[in-house]
Amino acid sequence: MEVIYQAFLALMAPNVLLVVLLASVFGLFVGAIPGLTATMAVALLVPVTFFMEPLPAIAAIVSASAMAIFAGDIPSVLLRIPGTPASAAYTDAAYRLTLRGKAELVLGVCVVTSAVGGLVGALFLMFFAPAVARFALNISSYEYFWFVCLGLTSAAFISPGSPVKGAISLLLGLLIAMIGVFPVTGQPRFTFGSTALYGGVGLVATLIGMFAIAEILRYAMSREPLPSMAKLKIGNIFKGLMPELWRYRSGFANGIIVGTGTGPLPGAGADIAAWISYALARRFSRNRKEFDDGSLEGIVAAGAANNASVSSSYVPATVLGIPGDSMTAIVIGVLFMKGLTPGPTIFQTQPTLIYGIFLSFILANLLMIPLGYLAIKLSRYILDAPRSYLMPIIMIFCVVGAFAMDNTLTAVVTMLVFGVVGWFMEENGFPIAPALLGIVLGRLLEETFLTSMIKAQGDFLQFFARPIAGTVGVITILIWISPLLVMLWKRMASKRALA
Amino acid sequence: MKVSDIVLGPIIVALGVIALIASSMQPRPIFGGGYGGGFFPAIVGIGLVGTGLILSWNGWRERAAVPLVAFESWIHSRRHLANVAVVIAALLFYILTSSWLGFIIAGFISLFVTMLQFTRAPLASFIVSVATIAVVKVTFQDMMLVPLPWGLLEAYAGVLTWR
Repeated sequence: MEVIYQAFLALMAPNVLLVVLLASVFGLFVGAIPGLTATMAVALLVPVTFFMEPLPAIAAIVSASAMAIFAGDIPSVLLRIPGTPASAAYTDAAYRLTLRGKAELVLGVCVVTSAVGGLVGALFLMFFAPAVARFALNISSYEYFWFVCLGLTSAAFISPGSPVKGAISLLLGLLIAMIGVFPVTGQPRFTFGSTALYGGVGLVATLIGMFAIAEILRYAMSREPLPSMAKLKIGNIFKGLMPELWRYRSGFANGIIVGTGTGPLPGAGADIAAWISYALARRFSRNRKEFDDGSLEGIVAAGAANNASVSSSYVPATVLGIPGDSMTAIVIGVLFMKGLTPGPTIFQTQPTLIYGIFLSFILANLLMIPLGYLAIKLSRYILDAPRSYLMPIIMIFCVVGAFAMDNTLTAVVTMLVFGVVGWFMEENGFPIAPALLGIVLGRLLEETFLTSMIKAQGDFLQFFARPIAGTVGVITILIWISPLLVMLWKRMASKRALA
Repeated sequence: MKVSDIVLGPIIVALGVIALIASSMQPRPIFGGGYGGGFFPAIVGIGLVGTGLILSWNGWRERAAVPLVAFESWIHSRRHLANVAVVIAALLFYILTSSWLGFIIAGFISLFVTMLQFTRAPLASFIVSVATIAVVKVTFQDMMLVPLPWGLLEAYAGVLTWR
């Protein structure tokens, strides 16, 4: 408790509170604008956090991401365009209710379910992560290797679209991570003779390119103007809210449980949590017809789930140093930049910081109700912000942000290259998240493998000699060969059917 | 721009082969079980060759239904083609000239030209660009001490610095 109190005091410092407030407003703004994602908000924030202490830096990222995920609901309700992919699951249902004059109620439900979902996820994180960390202290490089493999594999397989393209995206990310000096021999690898690449490809420049520049390019090509906003005046969004929440309490609870449970899974982000809980709410709905015509039931469940998963996704990120999605991958990158190594020992070496991060989730989700209310009230102005002015401004912030990381133009070149690559990949159905995870985890994967091989004196069977390593290793390999097994199963089934 | 898997597959295979060749050139260390800098990239290379072949096979099966390269409607609109060209050209212009012109001039030109292309409103674009460059300069260069290049304005650095 003493540590939590210390962390609370650290979080309540005026400069940290100011950073959290500004980052929250920024997250709300970016999340509410269609086409600008929560990941983009975080990517643009990283260069600024570079100049902060670790706690305000991570607290800023936490607040911006939580707010952006909620704010994505605002254009869903008013324009029928999800502000972020995490709101896509219930956009249709929300807009149908708006057309029936229930926009206020839907927005009220979105803000309250998001805040409560995020809070429960944060409490889960706070009490579950230290327990996992105590367990994780016993794991060695063998287990780490398999955990990283499992995380990367799930990222490739769970990602939307074809698993083959997910795997290619991951392999490209891993290949990029191999650029730089090889730590064992100290010799440059794949640097093309450029000393600027000795330290590897800059993570921040890469992600600014993939998430922001690619989005600007998409905007430059888009020919579809934004639909006009539903004509309405937004009054009291909390009116009549409690009876509705009580009516759908079981869906609400299910959403929170699904979101909290999905968050720590590698590869499953807030959008997947929302889709799963929306599908479950539909499956268990007592009135399927009312549900399909547009009801609050699915919105309550999925709105809670996406924010709950944002909080709980920090469990593997902080405890094991293995990110589950793009957002936590960025947080890990920031921790590394601050000279901190996420992992079970961080609870002993930096207890105030880690509990400060957890408490910042609670603070951000509490702030969500007043700030979310304000954002909803101002939504007409936020949604009317002319993107033709906004996109070039974001472009110049990207340039300076990428440059600020290592003060070289190489970072700006990297940003441009990865902007074009990211745009091309998305256009052709290659998911971006596995590539990003590959870039962040590639080095860790290689290092844990080499350390283990040195310890085992070249005996690969040692990777299966310990109980946890063996179990996780077998699970990972089963996932690898699962497409082959499914194919064989289908072939056998069709042969049987023919016979 | 959607490129058929039948084209992308061989490109991925070629990338995998290049990774394999490049990793074979890495020296093997005498300690650590002999696993050198080429070991992991070789695995990635094999993976790329394998997945590239699967992608090619998928493309081959769908060859009748999917064109080799398909462009969306923006390719037929001069305005949208120009939008894309201006974004990339503005970034290249900044990369090539910022050391010489400095952030304030190169950044302003890149921003103004892009905004003008998007909005077609010269005065508003000019005012917003000046204000944005001023805000970026003060926050990044003066407050966060990012050494943005001065270029031609180096002689006026003292006057232009707010601190």
